[in-house]
Amino acid sequence: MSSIILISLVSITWDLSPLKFIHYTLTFLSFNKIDIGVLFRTHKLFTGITLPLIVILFGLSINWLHSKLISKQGKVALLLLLLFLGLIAWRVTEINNMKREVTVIPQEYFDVANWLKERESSHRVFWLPRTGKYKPGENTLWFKTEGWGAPETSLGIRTYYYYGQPMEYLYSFLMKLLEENKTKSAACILSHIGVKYLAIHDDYWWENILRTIERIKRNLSKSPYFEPQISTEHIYVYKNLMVNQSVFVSTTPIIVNGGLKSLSSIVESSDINFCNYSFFFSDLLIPEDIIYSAPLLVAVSLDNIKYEFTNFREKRKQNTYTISFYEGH
Amino acid sequence: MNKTKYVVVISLHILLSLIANYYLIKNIPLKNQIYIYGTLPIHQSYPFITTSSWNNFLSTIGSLLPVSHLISLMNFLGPSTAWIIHEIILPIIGGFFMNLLLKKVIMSSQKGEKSLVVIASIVSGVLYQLILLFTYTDFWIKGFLVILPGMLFFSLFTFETMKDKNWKKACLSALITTVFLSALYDWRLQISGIMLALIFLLGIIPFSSIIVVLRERRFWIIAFISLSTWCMLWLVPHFYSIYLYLLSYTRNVTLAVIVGDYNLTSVFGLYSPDKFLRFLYLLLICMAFSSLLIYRGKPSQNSS
Repeated sequence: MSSIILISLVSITWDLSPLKFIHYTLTFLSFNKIDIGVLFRTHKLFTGITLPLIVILFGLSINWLHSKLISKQGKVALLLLLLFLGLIAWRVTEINNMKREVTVIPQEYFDVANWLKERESSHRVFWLPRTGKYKPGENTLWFKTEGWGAPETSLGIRTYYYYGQPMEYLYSFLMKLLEENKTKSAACILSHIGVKYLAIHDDYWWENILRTIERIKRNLSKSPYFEPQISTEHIYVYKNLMVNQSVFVSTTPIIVNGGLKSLSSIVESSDINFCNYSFFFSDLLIPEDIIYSAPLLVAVSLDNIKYEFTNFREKRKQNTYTISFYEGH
Repeated sequence: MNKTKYVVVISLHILLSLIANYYLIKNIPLKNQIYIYGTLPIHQSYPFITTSSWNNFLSTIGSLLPVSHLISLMNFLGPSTAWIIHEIILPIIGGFFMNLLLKKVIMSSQKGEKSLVVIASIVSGVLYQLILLFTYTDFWIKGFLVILPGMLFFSLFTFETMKDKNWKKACLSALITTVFLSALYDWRLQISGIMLALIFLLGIIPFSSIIVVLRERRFWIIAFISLSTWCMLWLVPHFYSIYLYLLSYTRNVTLAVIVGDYNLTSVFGLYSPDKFLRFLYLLLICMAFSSLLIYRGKPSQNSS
């Protein structure tokens, strides 16, 4: 009885209860720079321990209760216990069977996957747009779960998964490039990350994403860098024509200052074959042997972008040990 | 329990599991790729190399999974297979482990009346299974919840067999305990599992018996074998994984925040959006705490 009163009180005043305060305090616990609080930060892990303990304690209390009761009382208690279990079983079963829905990947995805598998090499497939992150915006018509990345993970084709770094950033950037008809830089960047096929699917509820897909499809169809391959009711596969070989020897590294945006500007505004170059971004570490042995092409983020070769060994002779970034002339 | 009773109990667990998943079972033969409403994930049915932290299939940096991560490895089976294991088979195993564990706990702590022990253990097993079967019990910790009572049961069993000087059995069950411990999700759960095992051992087995076992040379040999197995199965692969992870520029930093749902029942792992079920869970918590307040672990007067 006392426990019922105690727990009811805690239940009512949960937000202000000392239990919650204790739990929050535990999350910041550290001992001699060892972060012990990490044990309590994830709610699921914490409850993973409390759940078996509660069930064991429940079993012990039943055992105690039954050992204290006389035969007649014991039968009544047993009936109450069965009723209690029956009610839980009824609610669990009903909620399970009512709230669950089955999602089945449409057959056209398997058809496209089979077509792609026949042409599978060391290249990858890029599924656009991604599925599942923001409900219901990025969910497809057939999707009934909150699961992420169905085409990426379930069709058995080498691809990129967008829900993790660094692809999280690259995904939105590439979508924007394709939408803005910068298909040359998109094809170049995709070729550098080994993407030969783009699979665009337009089976979404969300109007915004449908409009974006329409624009991307229109741009890709007109682009000299992509070629339509096959299409089903909702999926359109394009081949990246800038991908000729999976391995190429680059003689010149390009250091890009300004991130992906300036890289795409460089590609769009120049006529050189970017398959002969490897790219490094200025905020990443560049291997020393590249800095000291190869001629460098240094690019900056300007609207009227140009490019310039710099022999770094010359720079080195002039005691210039830091990498310089030049504005285009 | 004799064999017939075990068959009856297991049949009960299987029946419950099938009824609770009736809607989805109905759909299995018809559907190829099956996903479930709720927080369940998209399963990863791609070729997976356990010795590499680079996932070549999805081009992402993942954590290196040791072979002993039994539950995590199940997710790399086909979607429907992984679902059947997680939703139908694992709750049955979890319920049965809980059944065994409670029986062992009660029988070790007191010489209770057998029929009462059977009732308490079956009720706890069924209850635990129902909680595991519930769609709102998190998919990712379901496997851990299944293994934990099993690990505790085998650790108790190991110590009891050592007490009885049955060293062969002790060695075998110590190895099973080690495999189960290694199969827990990460180091936090491993520490939790070890702490729980120690609490159960110290709470149930008399201290004098523990001292007697600790003086045995064979105990230390078994402990060393178990420790070496754990190192091979878990520690070495995890250190390698951490090393690879630290090499990556894209690693994340864990912030000091609590993630999850908070109310009284959910803090005990009993989350439910249904008010009636929440009320039943509250009764369950009350009953469990009653045992903490009243139960003194003494042999009952009615018991024989």
